[in-house]
Amino acid sequence: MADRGTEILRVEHLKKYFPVPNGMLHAVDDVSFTIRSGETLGVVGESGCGKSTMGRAILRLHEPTAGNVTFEGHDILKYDKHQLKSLRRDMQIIFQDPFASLNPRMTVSEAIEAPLLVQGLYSRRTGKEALEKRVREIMDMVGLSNRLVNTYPHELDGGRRQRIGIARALALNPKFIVCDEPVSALDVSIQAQVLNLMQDLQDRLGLTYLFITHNLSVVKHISNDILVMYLGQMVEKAPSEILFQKPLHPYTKALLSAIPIPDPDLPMERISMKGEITSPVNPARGCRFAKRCPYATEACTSQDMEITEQEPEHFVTCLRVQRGEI
Amino acid sequence: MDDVLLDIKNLSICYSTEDGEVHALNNADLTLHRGESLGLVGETGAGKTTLARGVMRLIPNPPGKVVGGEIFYDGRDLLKLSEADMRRIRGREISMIFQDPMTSLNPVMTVGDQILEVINVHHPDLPRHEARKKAEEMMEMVGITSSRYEDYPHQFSGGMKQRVVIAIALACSPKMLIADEPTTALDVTIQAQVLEMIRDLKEKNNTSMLLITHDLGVVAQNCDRVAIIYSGEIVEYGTLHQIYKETLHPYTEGLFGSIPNLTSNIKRLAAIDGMMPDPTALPAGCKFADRCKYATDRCRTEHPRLLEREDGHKVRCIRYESSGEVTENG
Repeated sequence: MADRGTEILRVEHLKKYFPVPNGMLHAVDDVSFTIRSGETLGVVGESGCGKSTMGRAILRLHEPTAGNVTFEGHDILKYDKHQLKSLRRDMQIIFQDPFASLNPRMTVSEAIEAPLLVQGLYSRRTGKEALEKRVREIMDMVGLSNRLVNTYPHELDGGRRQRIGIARALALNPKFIVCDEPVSALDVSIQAQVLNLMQDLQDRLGLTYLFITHNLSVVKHISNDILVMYLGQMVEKAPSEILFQKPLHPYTKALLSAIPIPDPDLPMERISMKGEITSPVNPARGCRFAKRCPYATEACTSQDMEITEQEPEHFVTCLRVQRGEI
Repeated sequence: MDDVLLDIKNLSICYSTEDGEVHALNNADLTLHRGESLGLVGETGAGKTTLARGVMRLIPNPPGKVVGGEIFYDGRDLLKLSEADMRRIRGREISMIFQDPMTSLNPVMTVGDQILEVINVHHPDLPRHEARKKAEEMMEMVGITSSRYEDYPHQFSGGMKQRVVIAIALACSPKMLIADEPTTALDVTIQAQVLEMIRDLKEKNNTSMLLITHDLGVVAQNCDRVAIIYSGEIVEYGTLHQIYKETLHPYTEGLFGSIPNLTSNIKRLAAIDGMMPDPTALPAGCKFADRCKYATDRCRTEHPRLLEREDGHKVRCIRYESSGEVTENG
């Protein structure tokens, strides 16, 4: 792994619990990882596994319950309101649903201007021309035609709307972007266009992505490393190629085997899992996948799980893998 | 042709809106053979759901209207049936599974009663306790314990709700099942469970299925034949092997290029530029011409016909006219 970038983000033992009427919902429970500058960490898991909450907790859009988030060497959980506001220039987010995440009463240019004005980088009164120029630059960058400056989101299709979402995130020249299911709402042909755009921008601007998705083919395509989550816990993390070639955790294996392959000559050999995702409210001790796991033993639910580096760069949270039993 | 269960010929469906006539489906031809699964693949707005609703005669009128064509089911033209006859067919002969299990169930009725309802409608003479027993059997068949008969939809997860919807659709052992994106709202592991179940039940009852989806992976693992729909037209139709291994239409080719491949490593996806044309102002020539890398001037002015090759592989593209291996068709 020569010549990879320097570490830009370090997350340690991150936890986010939500109080709910019948107890404590463990949305994110003890997740740790690092991302190198200019790379992409893909986060996969099924709905409700806490992947979006984790993305938001890193940006402090949800205040983490416990843990550390270090961005470029600074502990950002200690930042006050003002420091946090300037941090937003470096850390941005692209949301999932381009139909719900844009203000319907703002034109394309107003939507892209907003972060520039909020951060006080431009002013409508004194620097109108510079502002307009910057908006046009950003629109060019994401492939939005200049004639669209005065259109409203409802006049545009999903692909173009998501380009506005990307433009807003890019407006402040950030270093790190949380991409929360940015292509899930788009059709495959449009999805491919947006994925290509995001990769081009990463190469050009040296961006670092935390790419959250439930689509395993997309995550393999775009990520350097992949982190798999299950019910708030991280179960495995490995370089993309290795995770797909040699998954270690039983959940990852089952998840990968469930992907329908678009080739009639490659039939699926699905590893069946019992039942469905259980509730993350007041979870029991130990491995949360144990109830559905074909390899589970009593030991799996009688002690807390630990994450270990099983092979270089390959982290796994499974007692039986750690003991070398499976 | 005795093995043909559903034969759609030249079906056209329009919606009248303030912005003009929306040509949602244009001269669609589709054949579903007995006991087979046909995958209908296309993107949002291509007309997949309109076609399915057209077959069920569930196009809301107004604004929608079937403007032409025939739908032969078991030799009878569904479009010529009376509403009363059609009601006897829906649910009993042809059933539909809708996309979103969250909104297709009645929230104030127990799931058991919702299964019972369709049995009562089609078998009014069945004694009450037998109908109930049948409903409970259906629940067990889709993998829900019948002790949950009195539970309401909100007490079930998404995957379980979709099982209830499937139980309703299959309660009267229909000959044909239309599944409109049955697993799009579900997670991948749950999707695999649900598809496996549909496949088993289909085999057990020898049901034919029209599976509507945008996921080429789901089609590859579940269907015998595939139709690709673009802008309200069938652009390619063939067996699974023909579509996946001997792809003809540039749009189909583009779709395959757009999906990230798990088995190979491509740094950049071969995306299709542009978007589907506005269905209120469709171009005169080939509807895909503006996005097609092979397009010529003739493509933009002349509307391509659906061509059929000797092996039954159909394609709507003028590139295959001169290759000599095609025969003309409608």
